[in-house]
Amino acid sequence: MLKRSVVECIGIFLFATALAFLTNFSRSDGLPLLRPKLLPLSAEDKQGNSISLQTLKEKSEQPGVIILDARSPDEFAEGHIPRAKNLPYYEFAEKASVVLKAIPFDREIIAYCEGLECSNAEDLAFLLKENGYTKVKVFGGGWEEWRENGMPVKRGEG
Amino acid sequence: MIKKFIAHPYTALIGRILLGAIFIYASLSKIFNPDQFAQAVMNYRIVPFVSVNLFAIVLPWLELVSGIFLLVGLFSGGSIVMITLLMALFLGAMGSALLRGLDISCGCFSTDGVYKITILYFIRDLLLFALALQVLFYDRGILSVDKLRKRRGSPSS
Repeated sequence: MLKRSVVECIGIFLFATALAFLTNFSRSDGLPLLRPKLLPLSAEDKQGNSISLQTLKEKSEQPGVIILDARSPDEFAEGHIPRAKNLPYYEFAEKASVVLKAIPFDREIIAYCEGLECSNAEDLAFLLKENGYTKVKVFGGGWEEWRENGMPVKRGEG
Repeated sequence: MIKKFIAHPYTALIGRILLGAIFIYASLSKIFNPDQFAQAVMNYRIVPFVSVNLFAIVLPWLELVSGIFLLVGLFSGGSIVMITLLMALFLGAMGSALLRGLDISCGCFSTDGVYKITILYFIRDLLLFALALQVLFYDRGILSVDKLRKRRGSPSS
């Protein structure tokens, strides 16, 4: 009886798997069987990923949006965007699991660094995407643009 | 009295129909929104990144096929084993997500991200798991295709 149930169970698994693959291949919104690792952001992606100061200001008031400061802990302590969390690009491997803990992969994340000249926010965005986060944006103007426009500032370690 | 009720074949019949219907219903949203379901699976951070899609493609069909077979009573032994295993998998995944303090959507009956996992959903899954065990041990195949096939196949009848 048990043996028969196990054999039936394996049969159901094979039948359902075959149906799943057939359906997936035949539909237009089917998924690739293996999830591809993301490639580094192209220039076009970078442009499409970038958001303006005004958008960041609006987003920073929405509780669900995560803002990540890619600068060093010292720079972060001197001043940062309120509600931002510090995840230095160069310390990603050590700090990501703590900073990103409990943040769902489909949560909107905005990364920023010092300003137009720095690339740490873009690099952090790439690492986040590579780790499965799908809605990652970059505030290209960075800390300089935020501060120079008289936006609210928070000091300390957050 | 309670033991008699739990072991009664008609209780198992109701459980079988209920579980079958629940699994069919649970599979539909996942089959229609594979990308959203893959996202929900990824949020649990249990399945390796590269195999998330594979899991998200196959799991809803396991639910649907097992659900239909259980509902009509075809290969009921195999389908209830599959459903019990799936319930154990769901309980483990949700329990570990709750222990890790993840603020994620359940992805159980809907993929739109509205229903966050809570201890109540865990208790609901525990009850469904208990129901699956009850069907596994006490289902006698009343009103099932299996029984019909057996009768037709039997030379004495």
